[in-house]
Amino acid sequence: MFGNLLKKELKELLNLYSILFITILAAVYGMLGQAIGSAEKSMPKTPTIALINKDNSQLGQFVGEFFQKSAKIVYTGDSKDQAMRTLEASKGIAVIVIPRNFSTSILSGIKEQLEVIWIAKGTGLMDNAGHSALYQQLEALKRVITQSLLQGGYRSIDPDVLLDPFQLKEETTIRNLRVQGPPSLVIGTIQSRSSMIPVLVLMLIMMSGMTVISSMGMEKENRTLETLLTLPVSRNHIVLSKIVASAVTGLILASIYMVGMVFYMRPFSFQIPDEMKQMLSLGGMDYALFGLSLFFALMAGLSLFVVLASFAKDYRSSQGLAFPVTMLGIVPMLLTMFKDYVTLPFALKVLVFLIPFTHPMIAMKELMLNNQSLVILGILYSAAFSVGFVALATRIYNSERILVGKTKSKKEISWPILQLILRKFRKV
Amino acid sequence: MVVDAVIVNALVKDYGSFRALKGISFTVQQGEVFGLIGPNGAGKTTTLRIISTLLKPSSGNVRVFEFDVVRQGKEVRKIISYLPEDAGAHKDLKGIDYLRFMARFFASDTVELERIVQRGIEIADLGDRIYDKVKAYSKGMVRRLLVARALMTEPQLAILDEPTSGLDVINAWEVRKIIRNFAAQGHTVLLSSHNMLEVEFTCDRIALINNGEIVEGGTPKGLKEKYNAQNIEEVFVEVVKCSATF
Repeated sequence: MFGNLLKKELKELLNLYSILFITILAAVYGMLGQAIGSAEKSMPKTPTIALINKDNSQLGQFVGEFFQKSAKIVYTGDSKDQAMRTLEASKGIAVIVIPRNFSTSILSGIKEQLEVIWIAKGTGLMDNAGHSALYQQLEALKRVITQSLLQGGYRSIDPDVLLDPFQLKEETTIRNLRVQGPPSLVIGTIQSRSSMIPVLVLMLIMMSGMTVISSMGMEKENRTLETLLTLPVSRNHIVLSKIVASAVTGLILASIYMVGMVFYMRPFSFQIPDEMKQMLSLGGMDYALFGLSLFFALMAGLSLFVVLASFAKDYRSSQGLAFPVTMLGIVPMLLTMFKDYVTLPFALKVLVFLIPFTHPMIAMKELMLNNQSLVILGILYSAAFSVGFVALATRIYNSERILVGKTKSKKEISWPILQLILRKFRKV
Repeated sequence: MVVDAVIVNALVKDYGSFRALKGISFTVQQGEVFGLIGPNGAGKTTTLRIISTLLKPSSGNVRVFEFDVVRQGKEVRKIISYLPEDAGAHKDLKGIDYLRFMARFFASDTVELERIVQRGIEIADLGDRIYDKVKAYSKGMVRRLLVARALMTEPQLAILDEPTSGLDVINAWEVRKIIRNFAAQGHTVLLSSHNMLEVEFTCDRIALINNGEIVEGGTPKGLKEKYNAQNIEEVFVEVVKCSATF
């Protein structure tokens, strides 16, 4: 008896969709782990730098020799601009400027400043992994200068300067933006303002998507759709009313969620210097672009959900159909955590661009870094995607597949790839 | 002058390799209650869905008050009202709100809207329960609400698929009474049923359908006389036997 009941319960709970979902999720995590692992392995052990040495005296030459041994120096001239260009071409990470009075100041017991202009490739966890190697070398440099001074008999120098002979004067260049401060602070500032956006977008898409797909499932289960379709109302209106209602619901829910997130994030930004806050702040136009990006991604997602809802037989089956769209949201969310969109390999860039949910996920970051063109391109793509899928949804709702579960003929949906997808779905 | 409300001509419908309708033809005259009678799977619902513009015929044609259901579906939807078998109402709405929601698709102003809703309330005859949510209704109450929804707009053609299916004797009798009253006001009704005894009392004319073919048609009285039968059930059995013999 128990076995019979257990078999029935397992059959209901352990369905194809749940297994497929978790399998693909595990595969995505596995692939990400592999990608991170291979990226770590391929990371250069020796940082590539440019060195501008304005101090020809004892310590200046000592520092120069230190970096000759420990780093790959691609530029040794006097021009910072030239140094930056050379570094960017050779994928270097920093320009180190030894000031004119470096030796004199330290030997006189004055702590000197070593200027470091960092190049941050992106804001992802894997984008600036080479920076930590150079930080370690700069700490090592302090220790060898101290040793050298002690061996040279400079024991009368202020112990504070002797043990910590220089400070770093850091500046960070990220894309076209140059900000005073270390890269960690710049990236941290950008991250603190944008890291929750992918989660928010995913939640928004899921909440709205589940609303629209459940609504369709319920219409079929309660057999109200058939009645609706015989009313003197355009089928386009039936489809659009569901999409717009779900979008509005999603935006309201997301706004409530955002209020909570703002209060949650506020304590994390108090250490950020005002100058940096100002430099990375967004204007009215930027917020409008972000709003448009979010809106069109939402519309694109919902139109995709409505198309999928046509496969639903009832409320329960509609829930399972939400999974492919959710997966589409998870992929860019995870990828952009580790790498900036612009630093992704070309093939991944194309793939991720084609997923409309990517665009609001990266929009905030790109707007802070003054890359409006990518955001506008994303908006245009999402808008075109929405129009295409709303048209497809309307076509499906005008056909009899919505009632009888299959298309009348091959002519009805003539796009071969779509037919292939439909066939796969039917098999599932 | 007799006006044809529905003309079905050589109607064929294929679902893949399965032919559900095999070239059926019949006409429904304005002001009559016409019954499409047959067992489950005979093709009744497919026929009604084509007339209601939900499905497209594989071949043949259907005209509803001169409008072609394929080419002029929008016009057809303005003058018909379709009640699907086992249809439901939106459960989270109150009965009255459901009627109002549906009436808005037909009313041109608020006066007409209220007139339609009032008629719906009268047809449903649910008393104060009309102000309850649909999810609190019994099956019979939901069906009465749905029949009221279908008839309250006074459509030129009401298409009712198994209007009393699954109802107990009392509720079925109530629904039949509603349909008879509606028809008595000169409206046209096309209904389907597999309950052959009930159509005898509801329909002016009937067509018997079996395996996608119209096997017999006429008035219930005429058919009983022709086959020397006590009721339509006996007529149907005789007709099916005869068609199997040929």
